[in-house]
Amino acid sequence: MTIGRIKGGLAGKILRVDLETGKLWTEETRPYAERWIGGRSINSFILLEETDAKVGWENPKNPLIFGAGALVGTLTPGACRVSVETKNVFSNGKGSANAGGHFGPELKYAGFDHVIISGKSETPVYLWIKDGKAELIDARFLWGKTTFEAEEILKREHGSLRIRVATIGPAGENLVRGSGIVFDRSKVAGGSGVGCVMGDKKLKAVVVCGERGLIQVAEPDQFFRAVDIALKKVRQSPLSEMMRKKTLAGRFSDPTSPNWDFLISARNGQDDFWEMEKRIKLTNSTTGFPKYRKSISACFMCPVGCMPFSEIEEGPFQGAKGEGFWSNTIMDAVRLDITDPQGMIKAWLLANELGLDTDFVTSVISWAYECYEMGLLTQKDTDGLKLEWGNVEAFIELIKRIAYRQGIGDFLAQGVKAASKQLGRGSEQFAIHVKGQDSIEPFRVPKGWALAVCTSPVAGRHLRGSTAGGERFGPKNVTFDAHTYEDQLKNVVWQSLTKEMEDMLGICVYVGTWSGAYALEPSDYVALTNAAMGTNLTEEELFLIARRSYNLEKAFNTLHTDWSRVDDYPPQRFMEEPVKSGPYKGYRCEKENWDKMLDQFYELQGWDKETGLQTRATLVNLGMEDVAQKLEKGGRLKN
Amino acid sequence: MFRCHRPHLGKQRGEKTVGMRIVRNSKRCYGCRACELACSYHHLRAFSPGGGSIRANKDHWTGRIEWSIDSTCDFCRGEQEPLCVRYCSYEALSVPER
Repeated sequence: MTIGRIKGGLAGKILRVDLETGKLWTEETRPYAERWIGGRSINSFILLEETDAKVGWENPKNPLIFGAGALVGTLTPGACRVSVETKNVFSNGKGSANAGGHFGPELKYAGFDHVIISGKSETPVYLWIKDGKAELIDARFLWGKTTFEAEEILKREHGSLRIRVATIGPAGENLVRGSGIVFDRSKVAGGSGVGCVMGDKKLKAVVVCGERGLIQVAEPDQFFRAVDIALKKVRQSPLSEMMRKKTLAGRFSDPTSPNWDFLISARNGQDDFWEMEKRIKLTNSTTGFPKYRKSISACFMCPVGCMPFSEIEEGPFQGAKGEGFWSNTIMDAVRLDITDPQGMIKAWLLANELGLDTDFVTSVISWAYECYEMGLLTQKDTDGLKLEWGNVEAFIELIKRIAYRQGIGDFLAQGVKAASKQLGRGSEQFAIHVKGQDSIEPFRVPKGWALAVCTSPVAGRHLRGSTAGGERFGPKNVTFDAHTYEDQLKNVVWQSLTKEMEDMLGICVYVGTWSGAYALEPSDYVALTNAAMGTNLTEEELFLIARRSYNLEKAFNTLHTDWSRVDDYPPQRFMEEPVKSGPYKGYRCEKENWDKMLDQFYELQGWDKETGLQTRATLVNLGMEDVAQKLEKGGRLKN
Repeated sequence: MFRCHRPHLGKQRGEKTVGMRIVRNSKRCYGCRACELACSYHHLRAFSPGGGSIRANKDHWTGRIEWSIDSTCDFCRGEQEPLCVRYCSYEALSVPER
């Protein structure tokens, strides 16, 4: 099924780059958009179509794909996101990450909706895209530079403050598995090791400048009406109000908030409860992280604004300044038992500067802290560092060592799965990863959150369907209990599909359907898409495309890995060790209940219960016969 | 003369905007550049931030936003109010009451 002729919203071209030969060429976006709309779904389709299952992530044939969402570059609120797809360095399954900022729209104004990069360069290069033209430029002078330095130099080099830079740091260059691609210094496409793939290709940066490009919408009157309705909704959303007062991390500023019960996992998952005095110390408005907040900023076209700009003016971390202290920063601090807000600000800025995914470093470092506690790692192994819970100096030092692969950093740079396998001696038991990818997520208390983290196409990360209670997740006006197994499924599926829509359109979840936004809904996405692109979609049809897109990702994982039902369980620790303290003491993921939940989840998705694999009937019903054929050829389709 | 293509904005050409100036409050600005985008639509009937009269640049080292408005600004002649003001979600731009 195609969705009809696309008449607006797109820049119109896809840029293809072969780093091996240096050849660059373009193709039309429209044929792809007429089936997949844009953004992540087009990325996923190209990745599935063009990557052989035998190709590993480090193979030159593994493409690295950037794609701005279909509504990015228009006046749609929150439309700024760019998706990055490649093979996942932790598993060779679907690698997928996403970032906001100003890069996505700039790419479209420069004339391109997507950039597909294949091959490997022999020497470092960067890709310069300006007003419909692109070239590869020698980047030897940038190699070794941090993301902040690289951005600064490139802006000077091209004589413009308005260029937008997506770059890797030393971590990506050194093939640290958890490296991200850093956009505008602070927005990181972090998961799946996308920065590691970019480093392996010797591509230091993608730099865009679009001074002349025009994005047109098909039906301007209709579009502006839809924008006015959407803007009103977003401006009035309770989440917008909260963000403007407190920023994203501010949702943890009330130490009695339910976030503290649902969203944290302490000391590498030893417990899912954090003591009140520690919460207050980290988040208190006079001595905690809000004290260092100087201003708040927003991504392109975002009416919410969630990015704090922090500056530390005294103490050991004096001079540290920049964007980034989010709710994940709190989750990271809890995981390492750190109560020093200054140290956490410094650590986050450093991770951005060196091009690291903070979830990755937190996960692998908290595992190392636990190894140290158990005596499996000693000061001899750590070159004198005391990896004790709460030690923020050691955390910061380890971030540096991981990025530059120095000493123990080289060992940790491979991620917890490989590191624990190498260390052995029972350390595998508390190596927290899902399908190989490091994870800092809570599993035992919010069951819908955990289910989505385990079944997510990118594995181990939230955002792909995670829910934690009916007041902030799932469709509007639906209440459900976050703690039960039974209540989660429909909401998890709904949430994962709306996320697919948001990624194909390039809209941020915080103006959308996730985590208490309750601003834009699928009906708004339909109105905005139809007006901008000139389509005639219904809400059901948009859900159908989202379901297909989700199934594309599943099919990629099925073909490129040997995953089956057993891989959709939470890490062993959370099935065996219960929560030790707090209101949810005793909670764990019971296998029997998890099995029931998985059965129902597969049933809702139309997948085979025994193996978790897709079935022919489901794919044919979705109009994805071509994907069914691929799976059949690979021997991974259920009848 | 640019004509408003959006009757729902209730265009009263020239009546309210001519002779006004746009007041900027840097402290309120979040740097989302909705003003740039809306402005470009007024001039080009398409979205292209470089094609408008207003520019908002963020300084990464200080977190501050710097604005400039060039001489092509016609206070959105033909629109009910300047589009940069209308689409600013942070009340950083305004037109003074007459």
